[in-house]
Amino acid sequence: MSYKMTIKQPNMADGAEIYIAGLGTFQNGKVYKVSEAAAEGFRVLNARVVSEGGQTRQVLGTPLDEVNIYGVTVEKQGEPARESDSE
Amino acid sequence: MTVGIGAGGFMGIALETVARTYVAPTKFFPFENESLAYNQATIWRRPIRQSADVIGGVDGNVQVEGDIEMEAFEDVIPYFLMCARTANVKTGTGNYTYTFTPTAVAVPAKTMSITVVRNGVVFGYVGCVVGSFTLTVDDGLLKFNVSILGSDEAVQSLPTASWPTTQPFGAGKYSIEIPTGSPVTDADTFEFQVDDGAESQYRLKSTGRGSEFVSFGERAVTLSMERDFESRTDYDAYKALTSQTLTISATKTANNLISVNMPAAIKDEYTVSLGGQGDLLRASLSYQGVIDGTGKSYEIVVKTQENIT
Repeated sequence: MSYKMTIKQPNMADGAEIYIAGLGTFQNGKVYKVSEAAAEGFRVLNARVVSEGGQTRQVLGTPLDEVNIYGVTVEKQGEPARESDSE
Repeated sequence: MTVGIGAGGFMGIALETVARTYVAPTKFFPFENESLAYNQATIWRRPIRQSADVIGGVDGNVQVEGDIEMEAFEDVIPYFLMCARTANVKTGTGNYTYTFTPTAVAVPAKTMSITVVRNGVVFGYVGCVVGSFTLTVDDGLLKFNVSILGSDEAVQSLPTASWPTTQPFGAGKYSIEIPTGSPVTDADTFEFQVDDGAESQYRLKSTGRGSEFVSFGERAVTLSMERDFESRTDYDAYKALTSQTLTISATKTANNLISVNMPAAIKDEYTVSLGGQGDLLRASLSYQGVIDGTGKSYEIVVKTQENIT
């Protein structure tokens, strides 16, 4: 399992760096493969602590392919990827 | 949810197509602190009715008000200046030059939505306008502070941020020219401020309680700085109300800079004093920006790769 992430923010120049907390730094205008481990790390960094009935527990952040990041589209893919490599 | 700290917060902005209609953020930026608040002028009822207490509340007018302090980024400042009382001319392709000049209009050409996430809770402020802004240096770091007036607030869906990696302006990036064209190296701080006298305007209506628009009043353009005191030249110019051109620039590259020009600055205050044996003699100056022959009291040029449409 991996993710295809396309970065295209119209307000930024192609090649400009964009940092996404939990994933890393990417270049505008490029397409990246994001590994399942990296996507899981993204959820961990965006985790929150909820309190229910006097007990607290951690809830992971929204899955990468379900988040809404301006100028970023993410598609789930079947093939594996080791790191967040540029295509 | 549980308790949170500021570290997890973030903020994003977007220019509004229709004033006071929320637009999800398209530009996120790091900031140092914010104090945006939803203020409602509730009318507390104290009629005479055999009671000495407040007997209830009635809906009052609503406005959004607060400040944002941030490092000055050339890719962020244009968004805010577009929502101030300025006219903006954009030139270039790839590398853009935004030139902002003050106008005398009553309302801004643009408004923005500001989304603030505090402890995972989303606050969507709409109809936001820059009432005043400040460019200043703090320990060599260029900072940009804005005072915001807005119309209303509502919860919005939680955005996920993506951050530009723009480096702030630090020591060694400044040029101060007094007059313009003559660099000086005897100043260590400055504060340039524009205050457009913004005021929330409420109108009787059937939908919502937020201000209908934000109006501008009289403008004050001021600059303060400290310089080494070495001669009477500047002091005599202060006494004579001599007008000077003045330019302050922060430059990273030829295409990444912020430049403030005051075409006709007149010193409003000039103090130099003997404070103690060990004190370095400094002159404390403040300037009033007055209009030049073309009618402008200041001009701000921002060069960036940010393409704002």
